[in-house]
Amino acid sequence: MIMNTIFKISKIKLFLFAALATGMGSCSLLDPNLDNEITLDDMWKKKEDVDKALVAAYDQVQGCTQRFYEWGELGGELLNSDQGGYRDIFNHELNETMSVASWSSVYGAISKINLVYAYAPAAQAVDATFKMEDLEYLMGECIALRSMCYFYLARTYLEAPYVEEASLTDLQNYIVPPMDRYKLMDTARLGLLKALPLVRASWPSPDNFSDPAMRAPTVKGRISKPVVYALLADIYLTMASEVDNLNLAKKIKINGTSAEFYEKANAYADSAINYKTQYDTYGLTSGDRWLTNFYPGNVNETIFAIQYVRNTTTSFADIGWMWDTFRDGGLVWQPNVFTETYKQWQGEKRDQPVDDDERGKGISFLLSSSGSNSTVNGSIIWKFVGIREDEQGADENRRTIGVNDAINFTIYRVAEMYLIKAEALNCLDLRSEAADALLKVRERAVPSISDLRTDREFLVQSALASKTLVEFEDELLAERAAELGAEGKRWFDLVRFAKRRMNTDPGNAKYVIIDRIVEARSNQTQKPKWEAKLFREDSWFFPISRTELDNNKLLKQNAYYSTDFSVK
Amino acid sequence: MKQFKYISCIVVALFCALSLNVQAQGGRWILKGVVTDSPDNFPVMGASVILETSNGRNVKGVPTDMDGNYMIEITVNDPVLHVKYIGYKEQFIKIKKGETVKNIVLQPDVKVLAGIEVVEKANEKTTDPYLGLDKRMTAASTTSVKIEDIAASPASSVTEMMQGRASGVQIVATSGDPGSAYTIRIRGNNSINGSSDPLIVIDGVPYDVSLNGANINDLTSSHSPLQNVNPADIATIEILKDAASTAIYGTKGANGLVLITTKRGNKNEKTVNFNSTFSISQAPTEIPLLSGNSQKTFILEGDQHSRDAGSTSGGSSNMDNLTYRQLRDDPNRDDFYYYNNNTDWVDLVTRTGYSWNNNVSLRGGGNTTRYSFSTGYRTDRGTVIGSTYNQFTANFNLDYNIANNLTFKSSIGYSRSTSGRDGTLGIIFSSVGDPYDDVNPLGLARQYPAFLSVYEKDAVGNDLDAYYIPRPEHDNVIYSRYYYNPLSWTKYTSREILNNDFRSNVSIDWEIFKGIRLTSLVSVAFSNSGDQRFIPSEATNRDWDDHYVNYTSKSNSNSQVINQENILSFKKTVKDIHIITGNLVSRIRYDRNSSIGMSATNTGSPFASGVDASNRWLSLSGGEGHGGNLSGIASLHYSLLDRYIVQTTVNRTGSSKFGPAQRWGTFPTIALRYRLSGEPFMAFSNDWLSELSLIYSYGFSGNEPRSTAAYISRYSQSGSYLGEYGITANNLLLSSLRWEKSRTHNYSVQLGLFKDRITMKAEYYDKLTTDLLTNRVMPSTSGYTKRETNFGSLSNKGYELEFNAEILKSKLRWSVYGNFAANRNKITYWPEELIQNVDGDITWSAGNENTGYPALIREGDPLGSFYGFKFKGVFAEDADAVARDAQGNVMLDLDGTAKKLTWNRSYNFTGGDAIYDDLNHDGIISNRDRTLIGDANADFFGGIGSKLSWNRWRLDLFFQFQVGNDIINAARKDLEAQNGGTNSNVNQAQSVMRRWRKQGDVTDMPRVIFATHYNSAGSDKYVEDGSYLRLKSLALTYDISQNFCKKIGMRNASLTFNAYNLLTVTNYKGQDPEISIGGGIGNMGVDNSRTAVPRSYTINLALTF
Repeated sequence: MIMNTIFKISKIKLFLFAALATGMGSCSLLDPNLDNEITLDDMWKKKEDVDKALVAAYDQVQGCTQRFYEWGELGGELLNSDQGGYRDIFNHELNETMSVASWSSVYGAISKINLVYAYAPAAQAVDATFKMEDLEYLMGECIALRSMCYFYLARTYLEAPYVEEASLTDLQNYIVPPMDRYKLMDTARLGLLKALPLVRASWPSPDNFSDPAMRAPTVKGRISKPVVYALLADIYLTMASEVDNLNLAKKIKINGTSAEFYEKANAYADSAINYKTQYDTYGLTSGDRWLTNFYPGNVNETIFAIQYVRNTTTSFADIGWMWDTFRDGGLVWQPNVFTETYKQWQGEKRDQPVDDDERGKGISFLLSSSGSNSTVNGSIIWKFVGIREDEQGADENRRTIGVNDAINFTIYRVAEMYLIKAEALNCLDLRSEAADALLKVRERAVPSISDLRTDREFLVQSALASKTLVEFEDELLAERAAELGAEGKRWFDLVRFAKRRMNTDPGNAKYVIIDRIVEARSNQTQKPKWEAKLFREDSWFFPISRTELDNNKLLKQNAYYSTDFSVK
Repeated sequence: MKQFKYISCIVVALFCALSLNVQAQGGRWILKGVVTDSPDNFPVMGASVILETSNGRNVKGVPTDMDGNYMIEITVNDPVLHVKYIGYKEQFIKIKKGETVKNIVLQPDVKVLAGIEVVEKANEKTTDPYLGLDKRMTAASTTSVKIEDIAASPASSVTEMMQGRASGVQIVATSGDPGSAYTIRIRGNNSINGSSDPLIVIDGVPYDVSLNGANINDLTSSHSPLQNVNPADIATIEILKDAASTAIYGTKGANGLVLITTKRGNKNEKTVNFNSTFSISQAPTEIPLLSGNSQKTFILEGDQHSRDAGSTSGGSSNMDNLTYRQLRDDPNRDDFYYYNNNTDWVDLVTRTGYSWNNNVSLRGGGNTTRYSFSTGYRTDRGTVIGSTYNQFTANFNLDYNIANNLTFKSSIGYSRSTSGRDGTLGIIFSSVGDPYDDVNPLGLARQYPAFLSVYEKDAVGNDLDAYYIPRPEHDNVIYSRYYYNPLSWTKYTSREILNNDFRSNVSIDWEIFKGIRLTSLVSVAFSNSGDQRFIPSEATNRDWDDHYVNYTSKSNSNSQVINQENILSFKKTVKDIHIITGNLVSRIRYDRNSSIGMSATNTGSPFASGVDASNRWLSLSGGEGHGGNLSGIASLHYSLLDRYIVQTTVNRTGSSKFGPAQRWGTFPTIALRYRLSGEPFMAFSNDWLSELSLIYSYGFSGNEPRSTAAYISRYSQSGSYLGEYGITANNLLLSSLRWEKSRTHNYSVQLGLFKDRITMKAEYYDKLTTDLLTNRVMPSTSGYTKRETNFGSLSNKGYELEFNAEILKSKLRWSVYGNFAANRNKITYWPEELIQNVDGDITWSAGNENTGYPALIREGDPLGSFYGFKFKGVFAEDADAVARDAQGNVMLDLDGTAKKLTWNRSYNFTGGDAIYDDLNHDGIISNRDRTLIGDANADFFGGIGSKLSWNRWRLDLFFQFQVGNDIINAARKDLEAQNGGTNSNVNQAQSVMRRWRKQGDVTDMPRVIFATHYNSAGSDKYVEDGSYLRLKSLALTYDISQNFCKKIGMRNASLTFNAYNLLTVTNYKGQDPEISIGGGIGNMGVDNSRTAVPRSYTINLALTF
């Protein structure tokens, strides 16, 4: 009897337990609490969250530099390589399946920037320590960085989607129509103008940063006002070469004329050159220290450089793609390019044609190829390899892994600002001022000013000032090769000059590019081939990757690549 | 100590109380007797003599001795003696009060033969604990694997036992290494990104296969729950296939369900079984490889072609004539002896394997308590050196009747296994970057240069006592220094995978009123796996300051699944006409897994293999996932006149993997059965037609994504800049991610003839999966490359047939059984523009465009299709390699000459190069010339077996077959690539001896040319027919005479010889056509030199006491 009662009670308890167990946990079970993961709910609560998200964006920009380089440099005539991927770009043998045609890393950066831009105000609203001023800095930095990415895309592709909405949920439409490259560039320009009043005047240098020759990496490695000036100068200069034609064709309406744009380019370049804060001033490095622009880098002349800093917390450093590429001769100078690049220096000392230029032998390049992986003719690009000027390029003067392996990716230097000024002023027919600007760069490259100057025509202001517009342009192209060669600019330069010449001398404009390439390859017999390849302006721009075309049906392939073009 | 005293006191008190209780029952006396058998009057040894009360309650039992004597103390009123022995009818004998002698004569049971019980099919119960229906009452599609069919097989795992035994269930070994798991597909692949693995339920503990191995991919090979159950413990294996049968298990059963129960104790019978199996195994014949001498010629020829081809072939253009000096047979060179050998590396790394497996079990019980305890230990040595497997299992089941209407049941299982996989650690490629990559010692041995020496040599070429590992000064053009001597690699490096698996299940069954029961059960499963690797400096011969000297890594993962269910069921019978059964089920399931891994280098010494012995760590990783499901299920079963049956279930499940808006899914099913043979008008056939039923079922089921809380937008550390770490979003918030849904129609006919001596079941099913979980590629402008979403649909349709026929039933008994299934898988909705490359090329990474096989999903094609070029032979002469238009006319170039056919515009084909079909006739062999070239899915598959027994002899034969599936023979692709390989100069198959060598040669084997890919691009050249017929098992058993057994104190003993995988009939050129069909799209049906399933010879001794 007693046993029965006990059993009954336990049965009821059992039943209650079962019922309870069922009801219990029904809510929390299906809303998993991911304690050890950061979820959307945990994020965007403090300023630190926003800062870290922006760091991720910069990291992604770091990941874009190889593309920036390939797009901006390799189509030009200066370099050589035996590595398939690079060689195809030199030869303008591009197709839509090549990895170089992929823009995904750049949009990866844009998307990370968009995310910061979208959520930073929300974080500011809930974090009392997040000052409005800091939010403005951040927003400015985002816009400027994004504009820089679009500026690269606009110089590379005929059209590309413009995305500024952050990717948040799977309910959004990700099939975005493309925007014409010129419109894209204009949007980037307007973005930069919007960013200008917002961005930081300068990034503070850490108190303990005391190397007098160098600036702290943050000062040079993040967006601040002078960087926006430099970007604006470049973007105005690039747009100016086409704006009149476009407005004439009424294809795209841009507010402004090329003259106005050249003036703006000149003015913004000036602003960058003359910029000064408590942490930094901007100016040219002296000629005998020219290599310090690259090693150790971050000098007064540097305006903006994507930083590759050796990470001390792990065994292996984030040294970037440039390390392998340049140190082992994966990319070298095209052999014939020296006589062309430095021909102005030929004179009394023909046997040592380039010794008079600080940027010449032993600094910009080494005459002999000595890369361990290199099997092509050409010269090591010493500016990315050496740590000291040395003609022999001895191994002890090379950067070594683990000690001084990082190579920053310089986006703008003060020297380029002078050359932008010179280019803009030349187009405004202010040749004397243009010559002054050009000479700033030239003169500092000559080791001693003394007697060399007077008897050298290329250093005489009046001689330069009396050149015609086209002659002066050639002078500028040569100077850009000598100063900025191999720095990821050459192809964009050639396209810009060729596009500009369309206005004045359409028949010969394309030969700005073709002649230089043919001459550098020193193979006149191939001229028809190069004419065939480069006669269509479409061919100056990269194909859109097949993956992107497949995934976004609104994209159209650049017509040059969508037709079968297989002349070998 | 004090506590112990108290406990002792309590225990003693309890015993006293019990004995007092017994004494209070009244008289006690001793009863004796002899048990003999009926015709021969032979004493029966080991028969159970059990004392029971008049209401059937078991009090105690004794066995008879060698002369059949027993002696038992009667302690109850109205005693009943229950006597039983296998092979005889049970007897219940009432004992009068005071009776002291009772001799018992046992009558033989005709249903029993040679100790094997024959299952009465008509009353076969399903193991479904929910409705508890007889098989003949259910309308759902289930198949059971008959344990008696497979008892003689020496299978190492349940999965292996099931192979070929159940219709529509395709089971394929992932590797022939001991302890490797099997891929199971029930009625085809149902999902792209979700899991296609069936749900495994062992003694009521559901395992989610995809979850358990989720974090550490390397461990999936031995982490399957089915690996952790000892085959000797299995009582039943039931396979549930259609939506109607799996619905009650919730959505996890969408891919089918394997239901396993382990043996439980039997009432009134105590048996001890001992089973020992020893087997020897051998790998099938190898692909013949070049000898060292032939390989040298081959390399020199390849070098010449490469130099002729100029700089386009990459690094080899600048080699001077003195390259490969080592291979030019110059005995004056110091290294002559190192480079002039004919080494058979494959022979060196393979061996004869063996395994030894021992199991002991003890089962028994009475009315209130039944128990089963078993334990097993197996040790395996694989056919590739370095591969071993050891497993310990224990299983304990206990059933206890608390009261007549209240039963308690529990099961506990434990398994611990260690797999040795020495040499499978990756080889270190470069000084910076990824430290290792998984490698397969057999694949390495096949590719390792045959001319290289195994051992260091002295000055006159004698072997020294040290392995030769190519030195930096030797290796540059011969062989990459980061590919090491396969033998020393396997001997020195170590890798051990450890698994611990524990599961328990407790349930209480309470009959509240007659016909209404409440069952409540809780099950818990824990598993833990670890993977430990070590590469000592001896294996690499690297410098001490090198980054990867003494590389070590260790990872560990844990998972836990908790399942709680309440089942309220009722059964009502009205005048034997209406039978209504139904239940309500609530289920909560919670799972959690976590993992941690770390790797380090430069441990202090080659003997210090622990991560803690290092002062330089390389990587740390870890993760945690958890999720839950909540289900409410209602089902109803109604049977009218035993011939009209309706069964319906509605399942509503919520999953934590979806966002709030998409969380709940409702999945209804209905099933109908019409027993035609039960109709009065069929009475004429009663003599011969025992069963004829038409069955139809229709229903829905669902599938979830694999990852924890898949919908949540997660953030994680992403890169660094200027010394600070960044954080960014990993994925979008997937608000619209929802259940993948399958709907199934299932039609079947069941037939039983001549009292079910012949049974047959034929089924047709049509399964359509919509809202497929898939990683859909996104435009990169979104910042993401893909996102998980529901997209597309997939259908699986097929036929299944199974039969069982007892042809002879006399002294010579013969029965034949078999199954046959055909499944057609097809992507039914996947718009053309969304053809997607799921995971890139399978064999080669990006950069070598068009060289591997793309993993594509294309509407109209089956999942698991192969795409690639059509190989049409080899250009006999340079002049043949020209572009042709659709009419076959030579296309002209701009200058009027014949246009050369090019490889992706980057290379002009010449004589000796492979001819690929230029499908779009543009003169360019490119991505666009790839087409459908094969299908990994079998047209049909199944198994057929025969059981023959005569007297004490039994002969079991079982064939397994698979027809019409294609295999990418990637092993052969590597061995016929003739391009130097991904590394430098890998060895090749003998088939390359017929390669093109000079203008005009007509052959199907292209020329050798290094550092290229166009001659070995992914084409149908390497796609082969994988059909096979295999004599899976040939077993001969001898049951030792019972009389003899009795004399030595046993009840039964048998000896079995088994030849396993003895014979395989196939046209496949690789080692073995049993190639994994798992691993996701792009990995199905790819033979990557993995260890072949070996042939083994086994001897088994089974003893019962």
